Amino acid sequence: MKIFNIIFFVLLVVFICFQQHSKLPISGFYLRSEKVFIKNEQPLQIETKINFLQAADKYTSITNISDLENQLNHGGFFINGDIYKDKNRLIAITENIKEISDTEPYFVYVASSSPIVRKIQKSMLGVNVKEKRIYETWFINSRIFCYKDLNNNFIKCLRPQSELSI
Amino acid sequence: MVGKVNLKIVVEFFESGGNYFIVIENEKYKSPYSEYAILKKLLNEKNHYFTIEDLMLIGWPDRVVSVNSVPVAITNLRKIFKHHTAQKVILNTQNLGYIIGADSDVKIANSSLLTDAVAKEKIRIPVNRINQALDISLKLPLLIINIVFLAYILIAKTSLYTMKDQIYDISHTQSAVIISPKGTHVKNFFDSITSKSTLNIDELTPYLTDVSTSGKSILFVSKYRQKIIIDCIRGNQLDSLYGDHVDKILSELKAIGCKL
Repeated sequence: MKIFNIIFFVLLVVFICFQQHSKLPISGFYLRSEKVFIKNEQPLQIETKINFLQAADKYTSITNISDLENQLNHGGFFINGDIYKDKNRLIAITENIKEISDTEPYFVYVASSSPIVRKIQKSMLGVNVKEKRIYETWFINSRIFCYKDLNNNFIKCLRPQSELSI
Repeated sequence: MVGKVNLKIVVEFFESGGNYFIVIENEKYKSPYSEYAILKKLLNEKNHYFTIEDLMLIGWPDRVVSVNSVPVAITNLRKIFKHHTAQKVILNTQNLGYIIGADSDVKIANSSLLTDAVAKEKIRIPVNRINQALDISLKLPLLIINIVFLAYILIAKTSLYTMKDQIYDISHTQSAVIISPKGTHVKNFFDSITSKSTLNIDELTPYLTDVSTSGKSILFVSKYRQKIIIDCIRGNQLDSLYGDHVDKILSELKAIGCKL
């Protein structure tokens, strides 16, 4: 029994050692600006700025929701959490969500995989904040960062914030 | 007084798998450690009186027992000897204690003589007991915990990396249209789709870089909860659209210059 114990313990230690994450493939500021067209609703613009902290395996983001035509701001929120690379996948876990104080009190909107403003249950990078999100990622021209949500099968992209043409 | 005898009855002692055995004339008796240890001591030191307190320490070195435990153990040992000799092997003298006389017709086998090494073994016996207790109470649960934990990690990892399809449909028109997941009916929105191929994630990056450098648009089309998500990439430009108003989304795509 002792030998089995030792074997399984060594296996466990080895396995845990190999669990260490590799380097995050993305670093710095990125942006996603999404136009939303829902039937019988005013078009909206959801703009999310994300800072990927490669050294710390963290991300922080700020999302603003505004009216597409008159730029009236409907509010927004901050999200931060852990993000790390595990083999060829990117794993994101939300840690905190904080509403921006001037959020319109009765404005509730489900924007693609973006959050509901009043009852925030979703995040920019995924759908359910409480769930671990798993992504496949790739770059286009070494600039545009795209990710596929493996739980929900959708693809989204981000561009570096330095590429802003505002 | 101990009576004289002509034939010696040989007594052997051995331990096996945590059990203690007394062997008399090839007859094997399984006995508690206390009886085993007391008899062994009395035979090893014949003609020497041992008080009840002495025998308590010998028979139960690691715990406190009632003084009656010693007479009970002696009675049990005497019962064993009754099968082999009419002589009273273990004698009791008031105020002196228990003894096996030097002239007793019982003798210990040479192999069971209490040498220094055997004495050490005797000291280790309680340690063996502790080890056995550890085996049962600690090692087995630890083994089970190890196995369960390892299995959990392996299963969790397996489920993590066997998720859904990783297939992309690629159509060559003025733009590359990447529809995810495969088979979703959103590709019906694009009349000009002429060909289709399937690429995995490793093939996708170089393909898209080639498409981008050749001036084509890249469209990622996904469907999520009855709404479509379209990302159009032209060079370093990224436009993202979302919703269920398909006509509006398609006209917006044309307006921003995304080649469909």
